[in-house]
Amino acid sequence: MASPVNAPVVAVAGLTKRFGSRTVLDGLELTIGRGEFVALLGRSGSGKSTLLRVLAGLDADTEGRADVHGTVSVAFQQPRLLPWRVVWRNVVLGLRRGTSSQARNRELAERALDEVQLAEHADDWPLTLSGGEAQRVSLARALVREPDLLLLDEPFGALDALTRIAMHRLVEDLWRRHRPAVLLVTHDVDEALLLADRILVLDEGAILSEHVLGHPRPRKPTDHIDVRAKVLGDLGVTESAVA
Amino acid sequence: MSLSATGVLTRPETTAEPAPPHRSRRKLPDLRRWISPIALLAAWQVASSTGALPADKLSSPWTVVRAGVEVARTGELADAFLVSLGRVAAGFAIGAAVGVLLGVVAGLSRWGEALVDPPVQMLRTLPFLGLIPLFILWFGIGEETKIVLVALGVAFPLYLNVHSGIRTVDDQLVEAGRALGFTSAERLWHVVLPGALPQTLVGLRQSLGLAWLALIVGETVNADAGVGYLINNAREFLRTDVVVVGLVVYAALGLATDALVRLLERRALRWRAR
Repeated sequence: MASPVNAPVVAVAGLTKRFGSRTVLDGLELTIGRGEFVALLGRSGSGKSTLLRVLAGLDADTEGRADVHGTVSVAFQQPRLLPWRVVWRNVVLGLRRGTSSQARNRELAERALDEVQLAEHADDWPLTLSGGEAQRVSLARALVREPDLLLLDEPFGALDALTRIAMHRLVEDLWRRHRPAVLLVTHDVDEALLLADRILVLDEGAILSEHVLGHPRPRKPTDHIDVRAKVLGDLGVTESAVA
Repeated sequence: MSLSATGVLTRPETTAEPAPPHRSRRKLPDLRRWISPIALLAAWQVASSTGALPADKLSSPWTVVRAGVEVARTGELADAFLVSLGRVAAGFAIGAAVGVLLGVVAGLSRWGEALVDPPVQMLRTLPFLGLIPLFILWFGIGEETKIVLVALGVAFPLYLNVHSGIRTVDDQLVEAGRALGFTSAERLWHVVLPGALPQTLVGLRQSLGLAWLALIVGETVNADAGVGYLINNAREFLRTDVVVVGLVVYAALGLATDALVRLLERRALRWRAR
């Protein structure tokens, strides 16, 4: 799909989604520019995963506008690799078949796996990988499609703390190299402060607040300590609980 | 023996697990386990030799071995073997085609399930070996009855396992396929069918077990060729040694097909974590 270079990748206006009598997204407005890294925070039930699913094309039946210009890739909280395909075949699952040869696909997969430091696992079965490794394969699978928009649905939520830190670096690195627009859904405030250009706090299906983060990367956890307090406040965490 | 053969072979196998690792690790078989079988065989031989066990009730093990060599040499055994194998193959092909097709239809579509599942579940409660009298009326006592009987034994376990295999495919993987832009045909090929394979192979093993059972019963009713004929013919002449040879052949065939499916499982389900 051809689109002007500086047109936004995501243009959402008046987006409403109901499940029965429950309104999950309520007239939501959102614009994401090309190459922009946006983190979406919100308490459980605030509608953040629903928004991501709508943008991924997994949830139809909405009111309002939710336009995505360009290709979209998703990495979920669970890696969701097909256990019966070896790692490299999982990586190229999302490439259109018929457009490229087996050898070319293998080459693309190896390059993508190399970027997530898993080249030596190309021929392994997914069930032999650790959680962090599988999640990295899932990232490679998302990125090999050269997406204009990368949707990350709490992709580090199921990982241990050390692996998560390594994954933060990796995602930042990959983002800098490929420059997709990123929408990172998370409930980890520090993760958002470390990675995003902009933090959006979602509450009851609408954007409650927006925080622009200007600190150059790579950031330290203490950068944006001022924003941290505000975001936590928006999320309903009181000062005494933070201290 | 209960004729409800579904009860005979639905072993409580939860999944088609690849051969458990401890089996291959344990290289040395426990020799103690051979003591009692050999003792029983010896007791049988002694009972036969002393006349305590008359040959017209049960021949001695040694006589059975000699009878086996005899029917093998005359070619009787090979002929019977091939006829029986042909019947199972034909019945299996028909039953598997029907069972898998119906299982896929019921597994993939809500309408298919609504239409196919109720009659199949109702028919399943019938002990299918009990249908022999009807089959004889419908198809006579020729080949058809035996083949239909085998087909019926094969179709039900395959249907049940293919159906539930497809129904229990991980929704998250199906959704990941959608997120990757799969068409519904691609989702079927890359996600649903491979996901249903382990359960399908469990069904395959059950259905092959039932196939042999159905064949044995079918051949006992009436046969002019095959292993069943060999056995029945031997009975007429009180050749209990040949009867036992026939039984051993049945057992060997059952074991061989089971081993074949295990091999298939090990190859097709390589991806499972060891």
